Amino acid sequence: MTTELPSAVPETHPRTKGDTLPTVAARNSVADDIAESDAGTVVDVASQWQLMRWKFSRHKAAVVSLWIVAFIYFVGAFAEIIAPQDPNRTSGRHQYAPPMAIHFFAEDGSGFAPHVHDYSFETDPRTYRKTFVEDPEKVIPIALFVQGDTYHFWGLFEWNIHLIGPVEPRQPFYLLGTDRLGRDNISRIVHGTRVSMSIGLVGVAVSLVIGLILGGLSGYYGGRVDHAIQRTIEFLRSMPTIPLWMGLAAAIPLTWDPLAVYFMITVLLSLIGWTSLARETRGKVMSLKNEDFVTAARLDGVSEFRIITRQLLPAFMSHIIAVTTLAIPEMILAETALSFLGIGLRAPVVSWGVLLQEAQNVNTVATAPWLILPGVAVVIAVLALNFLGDGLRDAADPYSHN
Amino acid sequence: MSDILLEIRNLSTYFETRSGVVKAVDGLDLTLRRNHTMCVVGESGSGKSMTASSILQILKRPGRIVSGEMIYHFRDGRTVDIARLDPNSKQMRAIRGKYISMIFQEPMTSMSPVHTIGSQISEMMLVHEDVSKAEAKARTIELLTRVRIPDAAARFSSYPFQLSGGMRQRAMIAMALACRPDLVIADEPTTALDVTTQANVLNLMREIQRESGISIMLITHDLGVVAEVADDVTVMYLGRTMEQANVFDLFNAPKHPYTRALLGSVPRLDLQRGERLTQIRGMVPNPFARPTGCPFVTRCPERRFGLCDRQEPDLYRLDGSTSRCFQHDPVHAAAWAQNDEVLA
Amino acid sequence: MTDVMQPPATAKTAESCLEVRNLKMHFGQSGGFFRQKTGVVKAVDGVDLTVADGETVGLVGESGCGKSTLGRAILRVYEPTSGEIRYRRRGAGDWIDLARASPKTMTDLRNDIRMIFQDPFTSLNARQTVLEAIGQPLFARGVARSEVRDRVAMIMGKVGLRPEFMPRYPHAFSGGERQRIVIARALVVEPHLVVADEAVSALDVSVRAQTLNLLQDLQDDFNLTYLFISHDLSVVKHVSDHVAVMYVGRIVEFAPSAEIFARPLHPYTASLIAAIPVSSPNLRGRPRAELTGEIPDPSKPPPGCQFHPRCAFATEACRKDVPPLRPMAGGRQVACHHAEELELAGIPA
Repeated sequence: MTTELPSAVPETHPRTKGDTLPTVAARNSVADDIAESDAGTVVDVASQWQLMRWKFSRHKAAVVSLWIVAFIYFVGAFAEIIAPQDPNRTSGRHQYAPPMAIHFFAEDGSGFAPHVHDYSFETDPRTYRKTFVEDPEKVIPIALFVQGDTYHFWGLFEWNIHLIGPVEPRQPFYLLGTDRLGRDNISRIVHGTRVSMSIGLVGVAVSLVIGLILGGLSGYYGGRVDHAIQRTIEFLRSMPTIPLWMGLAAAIPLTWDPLAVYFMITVLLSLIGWTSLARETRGKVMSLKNEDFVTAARLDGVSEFRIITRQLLPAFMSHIIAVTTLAIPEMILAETALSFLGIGLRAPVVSWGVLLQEAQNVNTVATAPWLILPGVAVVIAVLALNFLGDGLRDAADPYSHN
Repeated sequence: MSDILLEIRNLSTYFETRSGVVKAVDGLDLTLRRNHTMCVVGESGSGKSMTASSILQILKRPGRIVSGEMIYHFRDGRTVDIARLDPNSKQMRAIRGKYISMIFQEPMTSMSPVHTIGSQISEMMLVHEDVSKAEAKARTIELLTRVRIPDAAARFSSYPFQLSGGMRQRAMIAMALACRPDLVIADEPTTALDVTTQANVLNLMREIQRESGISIMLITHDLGVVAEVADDVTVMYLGRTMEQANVFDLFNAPKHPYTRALLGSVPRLDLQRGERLTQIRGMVPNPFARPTGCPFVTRCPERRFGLCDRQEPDLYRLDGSTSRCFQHDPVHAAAWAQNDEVLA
Repeated sequence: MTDVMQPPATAKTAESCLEVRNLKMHFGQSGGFFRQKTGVVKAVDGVDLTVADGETVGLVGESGCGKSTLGRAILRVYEPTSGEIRYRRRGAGDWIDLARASPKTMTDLRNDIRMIFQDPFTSLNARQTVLEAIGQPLFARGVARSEVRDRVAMIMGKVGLRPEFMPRYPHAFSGGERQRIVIARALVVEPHLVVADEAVSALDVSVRAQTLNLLQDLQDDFNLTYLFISHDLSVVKHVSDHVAVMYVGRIVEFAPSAEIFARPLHPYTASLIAAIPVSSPNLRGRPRAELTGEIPDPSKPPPGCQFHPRCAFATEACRKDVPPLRPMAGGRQVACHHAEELELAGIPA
């Protein structure tokens, strides 16, 4: 079967090309002339956010880090479910127990039956030290979404479902080993994630508010205000931070409850943290306020408030987001350092720093090396946040190097 | 010794980016004569600066020369095709330092801020020539005097930031002349300067060219500068040569419609207040959306329907000049003249 | 200094709309730990300038001479140190001193006096659409969105931008188009006086011609008065009725455009004209005086006539006394002790 359609198409538009080109018309003004010639111009109309996404997606490390960071915060948010057991449940029988391996298939070859092996103990006849040996005979079946220790989920309701765990509640299941009191290491790291990652957020939020306001004032008004704020920043930054924190942390009464201590620590951290944010803000505001487009807005009769909120803030908001992302890891490291030194968070609060306190002496590390795993978590979180911040900073100004 | 110093034939320099290929230089032809000043004129996006970077092989990534040749004639009659040299080879480095040197628009960015002007210039001599330190210093001071830097001996130990814009540009010129090159490429050397300083620097360049017999390739967008110093002119548009001619021919009898339009669009002192300038419609096309046919077809006031928007004209050789327009093509000229269906 | 009012020779109307009198704009320099005052930059130092209604006054000078500062001081971007900026609204009889106008008065007048910026890239907010940018002065005055749209569409048509481009962002436009957005923003409120600060300097040759023609069309359409600030004398000659030449914070010569280029009275004007590149190689080699030396530091200007260190005709009087800007025949003004004696070359007719 033949069709005549294909040949008919070109004939109906024999001079398409010529028709679309501008033809002579009575033209008097320049405006008509220019406008007409623009007719064929193809321009991309990508929005600012699209441009930023494109630029961000080019930074491969940042994209990977974004997923890692998202995963870490997910773990922090659902710590109770993800942790196999209560982080504070002790077990006298399993002190410094090594990590268990997951076996997916039954030893007798009967097929898929995930399980771990319980330990049997051997005592060194000379040192009386208890050593753990996995015993293939003692099979502990495990499964996803099992019932276990009860918890208050986000303080909303009581629940006892855990992502993974032994089918029989309260059977030993220590994927990353246990600590001095036989508490499950992985559960503690998971719960520590919530505290350590959020102390960064809260700390940075406080620094951000102080930093934005003081930095903004400093940059916008300049002169004496700027002078005073800048000297204050220089003074604060010249103080050795660890002794300063030690002094201030020592002032927190021991009788306070852990949450109050937690809050105080964030405030202490922000006390130094705002200075770098304020400097960033000041620099940005100073360069922006003399930009022609800001002068133009002023000449257009736009009010100061609208200039700040509509011209200045949007122009450096994306930049501030990037700087903030870079400030979070600093906060995390500071918390870890303080808690490690015993002047930050204290038990029963679980944070990565608190956990690392357990790994303070060489002996412990030698016998239970899995106790330094919270340190690995800190490294991963800090690196991921740094890469993410880098990527955001590059993306923050989508109009540069285009 | 041949009269020709550098012959560029069909040079193409492309930038392969994520969003597509930018043909910065696209089949450029250009001939530099010994002891002459060639001005390369064009609007932004014409590829004039990229031509300079291609000659010196200092293209930034991802730019690279994809085709063409650049035959450089040494004084002793030997020739070398610069396009075939590895950018990092010893030969290329020798050409860059000794035979061809460059003057940039903003001297501050091409001079080291932490070394004195004198040491930077004499360093060039020490690297490329077999001279003693004392000789180099003496020659440097002589050079600084020659570019009319007052109190040259004292200025030898000045840092770039201590000089005014005009003085820095003079020091830059001295540096370009340090190894007695055959060719100096100057990329918009006076654009950042005031009129009065510009006049001085142009005078100086003209004088030096005359005295030392070097060739100058001056890249500019300013037709006034061309009228002042050029012997030959190459007009570039979208990476191609549109017209190459002697400066007098170019101003008195421009061949290519683009050249004519450019000349008409400049406010001249002999125009009356309010007299209209010739304006070229539209703007330089986006590098990713090059028109088919003649590169200038979208803006040309003399384009012919069915010809200029279909086929690309060659660079036609006329008496002493070249032009890339069908009106100068022996095959198409008659058709071009008859076809009055102008698309203007 | 006396208020000598010169009737403009070629102005379309004889009425003046802007009179700057003895305007000074000094900036304090500070340094050191306590930010103490270390010097004063006299960017504008006693300027007198009259702009007649409906004409274009070109303001030329080398970079750092204070021409941009003067333009911005007129718009009260800076608070003038002293002097008067007298402005008269079209049709109104009374003068308003902008230098001392209240913020309220100033807000009202911002519809009358507008500015076109040099750099079409930095003067547009990359995060504002064309509608928001051009309509900004209207939105700021609480004009309804539908009316803003209509007026923006109208002005976009006038400057050669298609109104469909209203929702686009500036980065989708070329330099020339952006400059037309900037021009549209200045004109959308139907101003009277427009300060164009190097409005075409950043543009390519062909786009510059378009823009210059456009500015001229708009002047005719809207009956605009331009204060056209530029370092490019050929552009200034092309657009101006009167030309004011500025040197280190002062006006050294003011005259009708044709006359100042034909026969400059101040040696500085003459050297500026001599430095303009020729427009054709046929004109090469005309004798011209080369200007040597550098423009002085405005925080340490030389005594007497500020031009004397670079002037070929300087005498003892020039080194001691500051020459006032004084009226000359033909509605001209010059600040030179020897204006009568000098025979300076302009452009051969």
